[in-house]
Amino acid sequence: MKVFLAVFICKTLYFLGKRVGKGSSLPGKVALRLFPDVLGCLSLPDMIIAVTGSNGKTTTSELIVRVLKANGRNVGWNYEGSNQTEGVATLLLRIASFSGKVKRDTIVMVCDERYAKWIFKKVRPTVLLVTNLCRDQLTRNGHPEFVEDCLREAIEAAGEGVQLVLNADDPYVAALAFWSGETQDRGTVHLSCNKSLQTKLRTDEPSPCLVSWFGVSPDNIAPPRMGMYDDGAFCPVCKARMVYKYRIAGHYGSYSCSSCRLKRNEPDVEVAIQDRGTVHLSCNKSLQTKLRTDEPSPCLALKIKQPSITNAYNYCAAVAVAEAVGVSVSDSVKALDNYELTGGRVISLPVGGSDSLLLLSKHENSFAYDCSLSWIVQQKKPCTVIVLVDAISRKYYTSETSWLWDIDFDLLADDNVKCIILAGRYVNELAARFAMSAVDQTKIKYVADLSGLSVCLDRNGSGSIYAVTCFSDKTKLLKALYIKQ
Amino acid sequence: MNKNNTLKKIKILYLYPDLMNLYGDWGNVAALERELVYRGCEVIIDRKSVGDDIDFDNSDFTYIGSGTERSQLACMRDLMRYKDVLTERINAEVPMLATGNSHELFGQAVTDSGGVRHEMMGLLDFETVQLNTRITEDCLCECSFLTDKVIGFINRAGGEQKGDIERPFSVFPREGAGYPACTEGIKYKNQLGTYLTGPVLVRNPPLLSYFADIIAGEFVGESIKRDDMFFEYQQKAYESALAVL
Repeated sequence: MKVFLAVFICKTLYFLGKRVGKGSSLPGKVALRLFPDVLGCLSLPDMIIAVTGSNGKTTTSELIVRVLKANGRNVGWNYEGSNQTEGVATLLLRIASFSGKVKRDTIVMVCDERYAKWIFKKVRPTVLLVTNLCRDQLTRNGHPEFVEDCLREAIEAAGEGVQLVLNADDPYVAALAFWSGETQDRGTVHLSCNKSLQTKLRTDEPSPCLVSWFGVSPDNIAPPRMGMYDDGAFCPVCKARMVYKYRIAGHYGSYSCSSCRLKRNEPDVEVAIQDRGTVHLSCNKSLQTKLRTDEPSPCLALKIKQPSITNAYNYCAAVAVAEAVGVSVSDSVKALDNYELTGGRVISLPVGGSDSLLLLSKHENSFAYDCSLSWIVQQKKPCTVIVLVDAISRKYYTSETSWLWDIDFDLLADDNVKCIILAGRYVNELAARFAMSAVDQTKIKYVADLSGLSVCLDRNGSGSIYAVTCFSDKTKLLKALYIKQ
Repeated sequence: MNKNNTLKKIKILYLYPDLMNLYGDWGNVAALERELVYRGCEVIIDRKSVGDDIDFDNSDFTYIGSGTERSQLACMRDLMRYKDVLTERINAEVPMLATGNSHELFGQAVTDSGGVRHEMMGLLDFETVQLNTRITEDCLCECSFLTDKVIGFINRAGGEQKGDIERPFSVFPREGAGYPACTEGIKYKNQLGTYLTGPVLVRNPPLLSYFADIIAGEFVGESIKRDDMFFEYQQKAYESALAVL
């Protein structure tokens, strides 16, 4: 009866919420409030994939779902973006029968990186992907090492047998596997995972988890400039200095600690960007993968619609997860080739030149901003850049703007950047930050009231228009530019 | 300019800019440099990190930013060798600012979230207990040594600090915050420590002036025209945050 009521309430609220354009979290929240242990009463499928990390969770999940569906799986996932316990509850209850059987053979659940440890106590994943860990939402998350601690608890909650799919290029993510082999020293994480064939072949560490690694090859990637901080300078495990052979972006790269054993593992699935202009990726199968399969082609190509280093990681992670659940790399590549992301982070803007774009970049995430600014400058086209910060979060107000000081706005000190428009409620904070940058101050215009943005752009804009802002400010930006959504 | 019509040379010692670095701490040093240049000083910034020889003797101001809890312990291991000279400098009233958890280094000990007690430099009589939780909160503070209010953001491990020491900030968190009204920070002579993180001196023009006054000393002669828009934007941002917090 409990399950019946929970499912009924959730489905009803979900249906009503959809009609008013809301409600991926509320139905689960209400159901859990009435029946806190209801998720434990559901009959779940054998394959539950959890996707967590700072950036790329939703995009990578979309890609995983695409691959799995193309390969005959019946997949359910929380695509609306609600990724805390309530969001996962909404997902599971709305696709369950009234008797409590979840009517899918595979679940992909996007999990908030801080809440994953609570989610996994209710729903244990069979595969756990950690995309990356970087400075993100400091007003909620504190700092990346605190989130890493939370994820260690999440891995513990996921329990024995969970297969980890980890970003080999990110030392914070790699540290998750490192800690699991160091339980006796730290006394904090206790895992007893099985040693997989591929892990056996390349290591003799005492108790590794079942881990698949993914990463990006440095081929054709120019060494990134050092931004305003370096989270790769010190080992996240022992705090000795880190040594890099190369960097991909930020603290991603090929690292090894100068003191402990933390280092980049050879990826099981690696993406090499062949040509950034023609958006051509190739997936290399690593030695370990080759050893357990007899597929003929170790190198496969796919085209992606929105090329970027960030998307290279997203695609690679998706292929690695699919591989971990039994879909071959070649089948994944077929499914992803030329695929157009529905939740893309790049949106065409019908203003200025034909290639004007809105580059959605999370506020409170300097890594996302740096990627967008780097991309703009790499286009080598005369342009106007709009940076809009009006609501740092849709859910709460904060005066905290420290993250603006982590963004490398010096990137915009470029001859092709003809005009910069700073806009929104935080225009003075942006202006103070830009006053400390290498940008020519005479190029900057200031718009506190967004109703003046369009006029300012008409008067001062030239070349392609690139707008950089967050989801929380997307609607305001489009409205201010009189663009229908 | 000073009385002799020469530029006053100021050395800012910026400690562990790579290790103790959470969210824009560098802005504090950049803002102070701007302010001192405006006041006619010639500013040298001396950045020192793990393993470097640190020359405290000729510095006019020392800054350490916030770090993760693991970074804090690594910083402690390195800085301990300068315990005596740091004590000397603090007693000689050389100004110093430690934002975030770096100020805990000057206490007796830090007990981490696993219950392990780590000896700190013991220059001041307080100690910290950290918990496995996080406090992240916008704050408005009354300040014991300024008439103006101070704004900022606390981003620290949960827990508490015990000790008999002047607490310079009376914190008034926003309504509904998970942080109680309390006092926080440390103040001893010209040393200031606070749990406020990030570019505190950018966000608080009065606090920036306070340190610049101590560092630059008596200021005689014509001031350089204040045409740097940074100060105007900084003031406006401060006022708009004050209006909301």
